[in-house]
Amino acid sequence: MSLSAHQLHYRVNGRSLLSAVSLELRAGEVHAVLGPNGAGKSTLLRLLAREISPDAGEIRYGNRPLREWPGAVLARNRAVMSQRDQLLFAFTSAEVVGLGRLPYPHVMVAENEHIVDAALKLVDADHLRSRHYPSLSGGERARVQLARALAQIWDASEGQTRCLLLDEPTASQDLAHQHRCLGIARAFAARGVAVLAVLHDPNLVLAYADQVTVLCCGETLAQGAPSQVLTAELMSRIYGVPVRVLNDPLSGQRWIDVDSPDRRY
Amino acid sequence: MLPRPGRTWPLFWGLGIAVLMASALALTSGALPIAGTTVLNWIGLPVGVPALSYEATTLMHLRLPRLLLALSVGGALAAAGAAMQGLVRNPLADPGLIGLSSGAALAASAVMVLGYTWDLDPGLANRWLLPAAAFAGAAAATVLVLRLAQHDGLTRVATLLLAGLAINAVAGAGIGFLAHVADDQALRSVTFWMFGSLARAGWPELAVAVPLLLVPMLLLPREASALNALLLGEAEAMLLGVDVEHLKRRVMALVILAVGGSVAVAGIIGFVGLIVPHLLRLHLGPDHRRLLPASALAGALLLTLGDTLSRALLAPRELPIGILTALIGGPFFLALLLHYRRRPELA
Repeated sequence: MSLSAHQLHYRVNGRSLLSAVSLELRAGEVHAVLGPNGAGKSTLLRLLAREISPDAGEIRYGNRPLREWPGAVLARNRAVMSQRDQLLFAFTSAEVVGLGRLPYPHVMVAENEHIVDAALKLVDADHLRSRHYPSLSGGERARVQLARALAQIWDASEGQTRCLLLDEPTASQDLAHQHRCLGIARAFAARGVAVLAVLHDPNLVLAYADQVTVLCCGETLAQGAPSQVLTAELMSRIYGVPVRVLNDPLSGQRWIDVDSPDRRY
Repeated sequence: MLPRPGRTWPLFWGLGIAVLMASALALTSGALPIAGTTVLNWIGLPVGVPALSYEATTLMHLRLPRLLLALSVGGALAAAGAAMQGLVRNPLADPGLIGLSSGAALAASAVMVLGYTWDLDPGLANRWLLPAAAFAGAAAATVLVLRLAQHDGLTRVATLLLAGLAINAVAGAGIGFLAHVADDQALRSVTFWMFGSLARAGWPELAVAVPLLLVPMLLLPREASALNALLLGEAEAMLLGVDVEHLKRRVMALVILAVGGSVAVAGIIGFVGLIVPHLLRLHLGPDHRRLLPASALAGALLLTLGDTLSRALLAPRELPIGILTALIGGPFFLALLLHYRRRPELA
């Protein structure tokens, strides 16, 4: 067990954004969070990142409560790719990824540069390295931000399980890059990283996640292996559209399809 | 982070040499031209002819203090501008535009006028009370403007600039009122703060101000990496291990020191903190590890050249340097506004 949340509650201005949410993020696993807009997915991710603190409940990282860890140690073990994009200054892509190496001031410059190069190549942004970040498209920016998060936890340090928290990493990515992004998440999991990914596409959850937590209105509706949890009935209920589940006879992979009457028009 | 190869060191060398040349120009030129070799002889090198007594007096009591003041005020203002822009993540946040300088000037003017009214010892008032008031004024303006413009960890630039506008207006009214009630001598001093000038300070004021101005120039670069992370956003910086609240407090204290110190000895000299970092970012990129030291050098260069120019333009009278920087800086700011107009997030 690496990062575990127990009965989290979070309120803003008296409105409950999350209530009684629990989950375990284990080393080597990709854990997806699925749910309609406003379900509290990003709030859950921010709580797990210690960006905000829960009103009730506890998050433990390793053998200690999350809040007791020094920020510098967490920075070397937990990286977040958020949806916020506030950078207005003309850093190059390579410089943005290099910011992910800030928690390692004592690592040799050449080593940091090597990691920046490798991270840019991994997310297929090597050709963007000298481009100014504000001039990139949305999908390109997201890839550079992913590379920055990867560079931040590139190598294991201090014997803790590394955590990679991704908030809609596939948003604004084309088809190939969506799969490349989640392939990278799987590869990091294979190297012992605990990965949490907020996703909107149930088919990507079925294809890449080991565990899924389905949130709706701040509450956990279901939790477990995607192939068991993501039923037509549950999907129809949370999204309010008729859904059918297909099975690919060749791979045995499930496929979730919206059976919408709107298609007739 | 990766350096932009081949661009950094030539610029630093170039700036260093330019600062030395501008200093030489500042010492030699003026109403009384002094030969360069004489200046070198005066500072102890075995060249040229020794300075005549009136030349030595001019150098010692007029040009050298003025040069040191131009170097330290220019360097501190430019470094403070660059740091302030990093702190609020916006390239338009000039300490003068957002009201810090006028806050400091209002407090300094109040001490000046009350000092004459209450017949305070001028040594005490000028050397200690005045800088203290300038720091307090700059600090009050900083806290006020950031409180107004920051919400949920985001700084709204329109609010920041508008709050600055309001502070400038109120401070301007306050200074105008003080000028109205002041006697002749105090009036001249108050006018001096409105249009910054490097002509007033002598060695006693310098002895207090220069060390205070060196502090932000030397300490701000230590925050460079953390400021880089802050450009990503406050939450992102925190996730990278930066103690954001401590960083903000330290940078704000250093900016207040730079602006308060500058206003105490030289009045309001606007736009240095806007123009210098902006031009350097075009060349060096936004990395504060290069930007902050380069800004200090280039700010020192700009103000030294500007002061030499302001002495030459209307010789034998001189143009207050604050008027010169505003003449250059106003149109520059308009050009920046037009440049950023296409980007809705800045509007």
